[in-house]
Amino acid sequence: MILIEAKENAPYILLDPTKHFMIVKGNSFMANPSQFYSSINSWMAGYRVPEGEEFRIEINMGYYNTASIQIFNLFLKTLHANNKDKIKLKFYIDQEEEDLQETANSLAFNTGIKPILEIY
Amino acid sequence: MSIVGHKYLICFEGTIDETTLVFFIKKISENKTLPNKFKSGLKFILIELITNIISHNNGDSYGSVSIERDKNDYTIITTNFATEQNFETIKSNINVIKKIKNIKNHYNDQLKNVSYDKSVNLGLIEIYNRCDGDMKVTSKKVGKQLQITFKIQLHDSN
Repeated sequence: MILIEAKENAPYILLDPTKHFMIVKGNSFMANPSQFYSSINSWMAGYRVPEGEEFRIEINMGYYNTASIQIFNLFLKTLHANNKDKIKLKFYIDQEEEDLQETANSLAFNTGIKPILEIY
Repeated sequence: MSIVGHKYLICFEGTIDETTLVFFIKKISENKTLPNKFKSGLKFILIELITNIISHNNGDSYGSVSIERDKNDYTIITTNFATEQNFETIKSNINVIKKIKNIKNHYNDQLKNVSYDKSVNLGLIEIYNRCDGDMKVTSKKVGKQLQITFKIQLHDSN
């Protein structure tokens, strides 16, 4: 399990491979996102969703810088490539923050994953 | 860090780091006079400008960030020190973006090209898109160093 506590510019991350889910919540506009996301990227490289299971990712959107978008987009693309049709992605977006929908679309763009968007 | 009068919404001069960026984003979020949609655009631009200063400084991230308001017009100005090569790269990238007809498609095309050993230059595209191209970058010598200034204009039409 990977648990990263949130900061004002970095998201809360809870990744539980045994229960096949990951939760990401908050902003991601740190100066060095590749360092921040290195632990989940290392985990992802060796992870395969078990037969008959799905891996669920829930992202409660915050503000992302474009450097974080690149890292996370690549993470999702590789995760999907290694686990075809087994990744379920859901975004939660505050209705007062309509621009975050665009960021969510960028995170999932060209990854092969069809996300669900929930506006709350 | 200071908040000054009516002309400047926020201005800061000193070493620019992640604390500076968090401070600006918090202050914009807490502002009760700006509409949400406008605040959002402002935050995205500041995030790109300031993370860029932190990531691509010339060994020293000293600089300034200010947001000036004149009725419904806003001017964001950042200064920092960088190399001549950095400045030329920025100018050249802006010239490329200026010629692009569909910025959003260009952004997505660039995003498609990201790989583990290759990042792409999405930050300038993001800024350019959010200010409708109303941005200028200039440079001047300050002592032996080169100071780069970004000036970005935004209009709140609400």
